[in-house]
Amino acid sequence: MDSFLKGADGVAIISCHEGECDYGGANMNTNKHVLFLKRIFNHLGINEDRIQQYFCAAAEVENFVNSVEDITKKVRSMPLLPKNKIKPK
Amino acid sequence: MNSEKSLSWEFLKNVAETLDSFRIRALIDGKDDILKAGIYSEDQYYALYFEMFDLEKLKYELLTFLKNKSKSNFKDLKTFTSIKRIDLKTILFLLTLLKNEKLVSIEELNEQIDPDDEKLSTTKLTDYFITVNDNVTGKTIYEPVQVIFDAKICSGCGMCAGICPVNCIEIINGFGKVNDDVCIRCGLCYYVCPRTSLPTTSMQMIQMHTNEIEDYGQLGTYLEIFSAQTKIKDIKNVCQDGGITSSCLYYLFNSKQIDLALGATMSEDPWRPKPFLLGSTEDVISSAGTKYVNNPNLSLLNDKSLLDGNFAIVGVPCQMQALLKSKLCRLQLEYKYRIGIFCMESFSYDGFLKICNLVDANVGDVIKTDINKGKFFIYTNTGNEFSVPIKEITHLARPDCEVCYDLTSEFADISIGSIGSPSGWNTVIIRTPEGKKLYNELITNDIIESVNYDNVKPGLSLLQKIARSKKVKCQKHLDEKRKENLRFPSY
Repeated sequence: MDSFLKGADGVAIISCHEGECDYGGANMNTNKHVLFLKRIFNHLGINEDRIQQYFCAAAEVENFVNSVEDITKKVRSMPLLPKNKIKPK
Repeated sequence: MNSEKSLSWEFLKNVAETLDSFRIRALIDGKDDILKAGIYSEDQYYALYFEMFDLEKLKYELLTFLKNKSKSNFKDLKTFTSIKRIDLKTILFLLTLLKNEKLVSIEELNEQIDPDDEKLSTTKLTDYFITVNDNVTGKTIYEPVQVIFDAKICSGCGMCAGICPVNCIEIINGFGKVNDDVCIRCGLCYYVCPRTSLPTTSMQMIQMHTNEIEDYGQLGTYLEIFSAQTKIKDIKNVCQDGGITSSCLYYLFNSKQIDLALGATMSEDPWRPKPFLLGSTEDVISSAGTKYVNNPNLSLLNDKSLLDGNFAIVGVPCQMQALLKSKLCRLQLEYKYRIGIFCMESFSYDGFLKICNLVDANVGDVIKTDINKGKFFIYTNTGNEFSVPIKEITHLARPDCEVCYDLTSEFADISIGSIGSPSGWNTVIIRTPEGKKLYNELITNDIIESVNYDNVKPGLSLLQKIARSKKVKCQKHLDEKRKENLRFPSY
C-alpha cells in the first residue's frame, strides 16, 4: 500500500517459483496476501490488476521482462491514481 | 461502489491505515485457522472481514476529518454524518473507539436534568469537545479478553466465547479462560465485550430508532410498563413470579415464530445452571424459574442450529448489553427477540453453596429460590422455608456484578422482573416495537393477564429507586477502581 501512497499506479511483486524460496515459504505467504489485497481492491472499487505477483527464477530473463511488460501494459490502460500533493516549502 | 476516478489520496491513505490495523491483519493472517475451526464458513468469513474492514476504515476517515480541525464539537460530527450518510450512532460508537485507543481526547458537556423527585436526577449529554492527539505512535492492539477476566470485571455473559472465530475461550464456573495457543489475537472478543467499554448513548439510540440524544431516566428507554401474570396453568405451577418469560417463549414456540430459544436450565449438579437451547414448550416448562447463579448463555451463539436467526434469547442485563453492542460492531448476528430479565446481582456457584450452608439447607433438596423484600428465600422439597437477609450475603455475590449499572435490562426488547409488582405478578417493561408486538399478541391470544403499572402498588417509584441505587453503587465502585488505577469498564 505504501507504494500506492507514494505515487505508484501499479505494483509488481516478482518472486521465486513455488517451493524455491530461500526463506522457507515467504513467496507463497506473499501470494496469500496479494490475493487478499485483490479481494479488498475489488471491494473498494479499485482495479485488482494494479497489484500483481509474478513467479520467475533468477535466471529466467525472458520471463522477468515479460512480467514487467505485462503489468506496464495493464496499468497504462488504467486512469492515474490520485497523488499526494506536496506542499512547497 | 466508488469508481477509480473519484478516489482521493486521503482515501488511499485511510485504506493503508486500515490495513495496518492489527485487528484487520490478524483476521487476514488467521484465515486458515478460522476456517479450520469450522465456526465460520468461507463466505461468512469474508462477510465478517469486510464488515470489520469498512468499520475500521470509517474510523480512520473520522480521524482524518477530526485532524483537519484543531477542535471539533458535536456540530462537526453531524456534518461528518451527513457527508458520509451514516447514522450518528455509528459515529458516536467510533468516537468511543478512538477515545479508548487514546487517539482523541473528548470532553463531555452534560446537562443536569432534575425531575420532580430530586433523588432521581439524571444527566444528559449535550456537547463534545474533541481534540486529536498528534503524538501517538504505533497502533493499538486489541488484547484478548483475558485482561478482563484477570481484572475480575467479567460479567460472565459468554459473548466472547460465542463470537470467537477459533473457539478458544471457555467459561467455567462463570470465569473465562483464553487458550493462548489457539488464539489468533483478532481482538473480536475484546471488541464485543460489554465490560471493556459500552457506548451506551449509541445503544439507546438503536433501541429508540432515533438519531437524537435524549434523556433516558433511570430505566433506560421504554415505551410502556405493565404488570402481568400468566394464565397458563402448567407455567403457573413452576414459574418464579408471574411466569411472563416462560409465557413469551411458550407462545412463540406454539405460534411457530421461533424454532429455538437460548436460555438456562439446570445441569447435573443441583442448582448449577448451564446454557441451553430450548426447542419446545416442554423445555420451557422444565427450565422455568429464576436461577440466581450466573450462566454464560451467549457462549452457545456459535451453535450451527442458530444460523438461520430464528430464535429468541433470554438473558440478564449484561447479556443484553453484549448483544446490542455486537450489533453496533456490525457482527451479523440474527435473532428474533431479546427477552431481558431484571438483575441486581448474581452469585457464583460456590457462593450459592455457601448460602445454602448458611441456612443449613441441603442443596439437593432446594426446589425454589427467591429474593423478596430484602431477603433471600430458599424453599426445599421437605416443605421448609429458609430465609436470610440480603445484606448478609451480598459479599457472596460475584464481585464482577459491582461494576454493572443496569438493573432492568435496558437493552432488551422486553424486560421482565418482579420489582414493583405484587407477589405472583411480573413487571414488564416494553422497550422496542418488536417487544410491543409480542406483548400485544400475548394479550390477544389470552395467554396473560395485564394491568396498567400506574395502578399497581408500590409500582414505578420503587422500581426507579432500586434502579438508581444500583447505578449509584456501580458509580461508587467505578470511582474506587479509578482511584486505585485498576481496569474498569467505561460506560
